[in-house]
Amino acid sequence: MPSKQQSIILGGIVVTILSTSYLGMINVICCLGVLIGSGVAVWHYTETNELTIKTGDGAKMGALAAIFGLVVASILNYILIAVFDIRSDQVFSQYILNMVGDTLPPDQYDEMVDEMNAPVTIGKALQGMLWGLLVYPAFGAIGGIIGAKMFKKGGDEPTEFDD
Amino acid sequence: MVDVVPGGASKSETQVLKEKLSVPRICSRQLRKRWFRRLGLLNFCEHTRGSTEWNLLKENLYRSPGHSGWMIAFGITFLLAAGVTLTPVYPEWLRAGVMEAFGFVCHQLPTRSPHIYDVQLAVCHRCMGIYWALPAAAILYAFTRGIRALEGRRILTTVLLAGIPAAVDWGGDVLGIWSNTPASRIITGSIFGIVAGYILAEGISDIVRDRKTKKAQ
Repeated sequence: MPSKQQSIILGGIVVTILSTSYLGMINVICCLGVLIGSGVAVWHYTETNELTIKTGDGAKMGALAAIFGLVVASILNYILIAVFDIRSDQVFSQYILNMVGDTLPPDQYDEMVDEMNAPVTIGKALQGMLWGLLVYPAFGAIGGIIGAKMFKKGGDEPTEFDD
Repeated sequence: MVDVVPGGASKSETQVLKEKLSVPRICSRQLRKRWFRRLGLLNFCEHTRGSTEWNLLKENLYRSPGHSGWMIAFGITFLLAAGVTLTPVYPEWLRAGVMEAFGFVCHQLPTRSPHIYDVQLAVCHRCMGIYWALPAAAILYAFTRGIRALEGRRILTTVLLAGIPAAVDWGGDVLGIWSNTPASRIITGSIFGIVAGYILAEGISDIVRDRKTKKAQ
């Protein structure tokens, strides 16, 4: 079976781009960025090698692309915040406060403001990434399964390989 | 073996002749059946105890090599749905973690999220509809596997079509045409969730089937 590494990295790069800074907000729609990235990984693999893969392989590829994307995006996000002071999270929180701030109980409002203004430390970024590991691989696997069912370049049945 | 009927012609030939001569008449019931068959739903509707279809259904549910796939899919998705719903009973550290994890995939706007005992759940109404539709779809898959609209490249079209109600519901609200309600958000979310869950159940079943086939070899 041809190596999947290149396709996983490509899918991971797409996940990274769609999870970094303001673009990361696309993931609010059912982790759309992760679904697209993992789909791209499977599409690239089947298109390059002209084959059909099993859904299990698609799920694995999607999950790995999502993990790759999450790790790189977390590092990039931290750099953007710590070095360049680009706080996309603050902008989103401010948007929420503007929208629903009036309806929130005062303590919840204050909690959100405190959280918004709190500095982002390495520990906090790492903690966020670890919690993300619960969700990203799951949605990546879903994207990979959908990709494996959609992109069948080697016929309807999965291509067989002699191991 | 072909039975011989008076006149020398075999039964099968007579049947073929009859079929050729008869004018096809499609009543509304047949038309409905045809569409049901296209959607794969007839497999479920036409089962009668002891028939071939009934045996096939039994095989799908608990006899075929990949039969446990839908159960695994149901288990995973049920845990996921229960996980986001039970947020109020978690200890504070776990609740904060679950909120953060699902913050990646949901806006978690307080006014658009369900609350239990005044505690906000981990996802919004629409996402809640999606998550609870996933285990329901796994059960649906067990009874109606092989829906053609969810095969090959049709999947993308079906997934996009399933997302239209949610997009319209959201778009109408944003443009000020109407105000969506928690019920409309849950329903449109669950339409999308049923399709996504069906594909997921099919994928997990494929994985289980592959593993069992490999083991058997």
